[in-house]
Amino acid sequence: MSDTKTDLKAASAELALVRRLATSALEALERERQRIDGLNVYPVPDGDTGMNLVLTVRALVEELDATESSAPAAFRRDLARALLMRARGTSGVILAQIVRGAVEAAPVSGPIGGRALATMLERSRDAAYSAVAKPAEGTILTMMRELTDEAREQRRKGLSLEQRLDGLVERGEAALERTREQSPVLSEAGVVDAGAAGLLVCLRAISSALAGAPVVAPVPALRLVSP
Amino acid sequence: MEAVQLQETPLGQLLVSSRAIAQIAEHSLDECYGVVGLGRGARIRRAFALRRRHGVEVILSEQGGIELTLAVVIAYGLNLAEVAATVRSRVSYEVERVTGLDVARVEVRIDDVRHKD
Repeated sequence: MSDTKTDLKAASAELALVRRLATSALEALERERQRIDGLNVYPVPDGDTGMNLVLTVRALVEELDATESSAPAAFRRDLARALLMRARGTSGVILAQIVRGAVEAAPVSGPIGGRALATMLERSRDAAYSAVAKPAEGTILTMMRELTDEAREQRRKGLSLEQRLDGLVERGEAALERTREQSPVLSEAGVVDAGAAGLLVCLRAISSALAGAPVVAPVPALRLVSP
Repeated sequence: MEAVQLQETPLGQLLVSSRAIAQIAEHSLDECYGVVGLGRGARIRRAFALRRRHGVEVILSEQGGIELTLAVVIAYGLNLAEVAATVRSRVSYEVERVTGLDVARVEVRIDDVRHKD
């Protein structure tokens, strides 16, 4: 009985944490929206990548705000559905795949260590790459692949989740800079990729929100809710 | 083979074949996010049908623009309407960019939904 109570308390604390992380990603995207829109020269230079990412992450935040459920299976299904229905633009559709992969692979209980984080990113990467016949380099997909490589490399190191995310942000910054040279369209325009920039903005926001967040467990967890 | 006139010069016309236009469209479809294959080809027959090729049909409209019908296979689990909208904008942008011709209409037909092979 007291175990169930503790679980529910832990579940709602974690839901609150995930909400805070998603909200900070949304706020960061809203701040950077115009800058991301301005980078958008590929695949179609219509300057809407930032807005598409804002709309997609807003759908995620609204779904998180609406949920009271502590049943992980139902909650994950609702989240995936909300993202599917409300993803906007190519970058939004890819971000929805990324989030869905991570959510599906998130451990049901226990803190997120190096292996769990690497597994989540692998699933995100695979979901993102699974829906395109010929993936182009220098895109949000390249960024996702580099982040996954980083998570795999740091898997066995004894680091805290904050340190791991710091490492991911650092790798992401280098990867973003490289997109400039990876695609002829981007090098011609002299910009980095808009979608990759948007993903990094989310990651950086999550990383700093997590570092500043009150610790709810010995190791703060990105996982959603406990059973 | 039917072709569209790009330019008329004193030395002669510059033409682009419908096959070339279909190739350009097909090439951009390969990189479209959400598209994991091409359909079996448009079955609509029209008087102005120029060329049918691997899911891309190129039609010369009476007003002089190009009409495209794209038959595609979309990855399972994606928002079909959103993917179709991005396919439409990407392919018409690419065909217009490469040929300089006006793409008057793009019909996207989702033939199938499946996981990538």
